[in-house]
Amino acid sequence: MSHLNGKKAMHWPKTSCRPEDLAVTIVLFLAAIAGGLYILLAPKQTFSENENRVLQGAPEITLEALLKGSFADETESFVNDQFPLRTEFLCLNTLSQKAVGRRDLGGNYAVTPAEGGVYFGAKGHIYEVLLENESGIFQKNAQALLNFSENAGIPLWIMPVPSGSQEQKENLPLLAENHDQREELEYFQENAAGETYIVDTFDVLGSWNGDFYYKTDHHWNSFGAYEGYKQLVSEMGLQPLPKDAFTFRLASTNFLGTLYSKAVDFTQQPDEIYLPQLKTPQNIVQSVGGEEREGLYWEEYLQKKDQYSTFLGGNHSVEVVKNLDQTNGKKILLLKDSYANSLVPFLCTHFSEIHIIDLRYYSQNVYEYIQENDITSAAAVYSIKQLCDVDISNKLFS
Amino acid sequence: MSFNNLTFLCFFLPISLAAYYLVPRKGKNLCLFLFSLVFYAWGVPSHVLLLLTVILVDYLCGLVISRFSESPGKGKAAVAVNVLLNIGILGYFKYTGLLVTTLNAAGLSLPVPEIALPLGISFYTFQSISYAVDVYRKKAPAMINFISFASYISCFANIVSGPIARYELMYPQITGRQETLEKFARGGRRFLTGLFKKMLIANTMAELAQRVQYMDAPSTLAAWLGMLAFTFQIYFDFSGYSDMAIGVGGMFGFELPENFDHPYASRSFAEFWRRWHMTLGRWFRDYVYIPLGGNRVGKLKLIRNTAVVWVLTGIWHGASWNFALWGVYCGILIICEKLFLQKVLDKLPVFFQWLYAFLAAAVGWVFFSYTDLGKAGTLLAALVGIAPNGADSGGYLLVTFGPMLVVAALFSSPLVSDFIKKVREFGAIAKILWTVACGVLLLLSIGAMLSNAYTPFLYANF
Repeated sequence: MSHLNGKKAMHWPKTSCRPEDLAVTIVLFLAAIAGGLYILLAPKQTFSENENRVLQGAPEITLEALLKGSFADETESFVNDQFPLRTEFLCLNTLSQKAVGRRDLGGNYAVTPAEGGVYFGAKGHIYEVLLENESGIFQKNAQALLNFSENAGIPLWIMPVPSGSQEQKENLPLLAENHDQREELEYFQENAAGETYIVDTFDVLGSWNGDFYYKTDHHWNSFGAYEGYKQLVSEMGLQPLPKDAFTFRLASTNFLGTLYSKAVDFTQQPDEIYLPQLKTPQNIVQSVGGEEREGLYWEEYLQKKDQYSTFLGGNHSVEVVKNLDQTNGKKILLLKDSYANSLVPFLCTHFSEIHIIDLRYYSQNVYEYIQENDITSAAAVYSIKQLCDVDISNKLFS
Repeated sequence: MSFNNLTFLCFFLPISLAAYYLVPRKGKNLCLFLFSLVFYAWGVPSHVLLLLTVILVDYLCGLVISRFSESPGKGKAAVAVNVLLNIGILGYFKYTGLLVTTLNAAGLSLPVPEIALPLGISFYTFQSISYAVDVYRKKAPAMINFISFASYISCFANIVSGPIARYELMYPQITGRQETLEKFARGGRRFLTGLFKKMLIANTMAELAQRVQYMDAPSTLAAWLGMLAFTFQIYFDFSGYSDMAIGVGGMFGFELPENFDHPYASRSFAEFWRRWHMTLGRWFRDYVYIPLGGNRVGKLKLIRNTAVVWVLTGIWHGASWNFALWGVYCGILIICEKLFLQKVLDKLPVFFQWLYAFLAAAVGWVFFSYTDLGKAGTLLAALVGIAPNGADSGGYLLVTFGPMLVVAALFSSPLVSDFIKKVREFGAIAKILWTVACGVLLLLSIGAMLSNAYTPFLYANF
C-alpha cells in the first residue's frame, strides 16, 4: 500500500482515502487480530459453568478430520469457545437486547417443537417461556404415571409442580403469552383412578402467598419446597411439621441458576439459597452409589456454579435417604426430577426410608425394585415442564 | 465458511490478506485462488472437486469458443455445450430432489436421492455462463491463464452468495487490478456495514419471522408482524451479505458490482426489481431476456419473455414449488405494470405508489418464505383479517420486537443512510463519533456472533 503515499489527495481528490474509513478498518483489524492472537496464545478455558459443558480445545489436524469437514466445525467451536471476554460479550449481547426493548431471549423457533427461552420478568425474575405442548411427551408420561399404581400394587401420590412463570404471571412482560399448566394438572385430575391421588400445589405456590421460586433458576426455592411438602404429606394423611419447626439457614447469596445461563447479565441480582434444618436435629443418612453420607446437603456445591445441587448432591439414578430417628418403618418410593431434591429435607422427617429414583437415569425395573425393598407407597414429584419435555414413560412399563 | 463468523474475522481474513499483499504481483491470483479453495472446502471438502471440475470445463470451453471466434456456428455450439453443462450441473445438484418428489406425488414411487447442495453453486454456475457468453459476444477475451480464470470463478468474496460478477466487468480486474489504500479502507467500512446489518438487524428480524412462521394460526396482527419481519430479514440478510462481499472484494483490490439500492423505497414493483439483487436481474436481462428479444417485440412475445424470465428467477431461488409460484407472482405484477398498471400508478400520489410497491414485495416474500403453501394461504388470509382461529400473540410480539422493527424500517429507507453520510462529512468530531459508534457496533456484533455461535445465511442455501 506504500505506493499510494506519493500520490496524495491533490491528484485524485475524489478517490482519496477517507480518514474515517481508514479508522474503522483499523478498528476492525485490531479487534480481529487481537482476538485471533488471544485465542492462539492465551491459556485455554476448559469448561463453561454457565453452559455446563466442556469447551472446545485446539482442534487436531488429521487428514480424516480435514476430509470430513470436522476440522472446520471444531475450529469454529474452538474460536467461539476460546474468544477473549466471551462471557462479557454474552452479557453485552443480553444488555443490548434489553436496551432495544426485547422482553425475552434465548428462544429457538427454527426447531420443532420450538424452545421458548426466557422472559425478563419484573422484580429481578427471569422466567421460563412456557409453550403449548406439541410433542405428546406429556400425555405419555402422564399415562405411565397414572398406570403406575395399578402395576405396582401400591398407592401413588402425583405432585405436578407448576413453573414460576405459571405462578407469578403478574411479573411477566406486558401481554406475554404463556401456556397454562393447569391443563396438565387437570389432565391428571380427570384421569386419576384407584389408588392414584393428585396433589394440587397451584394455589399454595401462588405469588399472593410469597415468592416461592428462585429469580435466576427454574426450581422452586426452599420455601416453595416447604409448601409442596406440606401439601403432599397432608394428602397422604400425615401431619406436616409447621414451618417454624425448621430453621432456614442462609447458605448462599450468590446463586445464579439455569435461567440466568440463558441470559448472562452481570447486572442480574443473584439468588439466596436457604437450607432448612429441623430445630430438633434428626440423624439423616443419604446412601448413594454404595456410599453413605451424613445429612442431605453437599455444601461443596455452594462454591460451584450449580448451587442447587447442594440439595442431595444433584440427581442420581437411585439413592436412599434414611432417617435413623424415625422408627415407624415406613418406606416410600419417590419418583422425581430435581424439584424433589429440595423437598426431601422436609419429607425425610416422616419416613424411615425414602427410596429415590430418577427415571431419567435409572435403567432397572422399578416394579422389581419395589418388591425387593418392601416399599408400601409412592410419590411422584415432577415439575410439569419436565413432564412435557422429557419422556420417562418407557421406564415405567411393567 | 461464511463472513459473519469469528473464525473468518479473526483468522481467515487477516491471514489471507497478509499473504495476498506479501506475494509478488504475479502470484496474487494464485494466492487468491488457493485461499478461495480453502474457504470453499471449509464446510464440505468434497465439493471442492466439483468446483475444480466446473472451472476446468469452463476454462476449456472458453478456449474453444475463442478459437472459433471467426466461425459463429461452431462458437455458438461451444457456448451451447457450456451452458448445457452448467445448467445440467446446477439442475442435478439442485433440482433432482424436487423432480423426484414431484413425480412421486404424481403417482410414481422413486427413491428420493439425497444430494447435498454445493455452496454457492447457483451463483458460480451463473458466472460460468456469463464467461462463455461474454467471450462468445467478444465483450472480453477468453482467459488464457488457468489460474486467473480459476480466481474469477472461485473468488471467495462472492462465490457463496454473489454479487454475480459478469465476466465482461471482471476481466480487466482479474488481469490488472490495482489495490489501493482507498479501496482497502472503503472495503473495511463496507464489510463492517454488512456485518452490522446481518448480526444486529437481520438476525433479530429472523427471530420474529420464525416465531410467526411457527404458528399454525397467526392472528391478523401477528401475520402482519411476521410478514414485515421477513421482509426486513431478507433485505438485511442479503444486502448485508452483499456489503460484506463487496467489502472483502475491495480489500483485495476488486470493485464488485452493487447488488442493492434501497429497494424498499421503490414506487413500482419493476423498480423494486431494478434495485433488489441487481446483479441477478442484470444477469437475466443480459443472458435470457435480451436473447429472447427483450422489449422490442410484440405484446404477446413481451409477455412470454417476461414470463420466462420470472419463472426462471423464481425457481433459481430454491428447489421447491413455492419459489416457482413466487416467480409467477412477480412476473404477473411486472407484466401488469408493463401493460397498464404503471399508467394507473403514475396518477396516484407518491405515497400510494410506494405503499403499493412495498406491499407487493412484502406479499411476495410470503410465497417465498413459506414452503408449505397451505400455511402461506393461512397467513395471507390472516393479513386481511380472516383469522378464525388466530392465536392472540401479536400484542406481545409487538412489545418485544416493536422497537427493532422500527429500526429495521428506518435503516432500510434511504433517509438514514443519507443522514449517516451527511454526518460523516460534517467535520472531525462527527468523524470521530462515527468511528466510535462503529467500534461499539462491532463489539455488539461480536456479542451477537458469540451468542448464536452459528447462523447460516439464508441465501447460502440457494
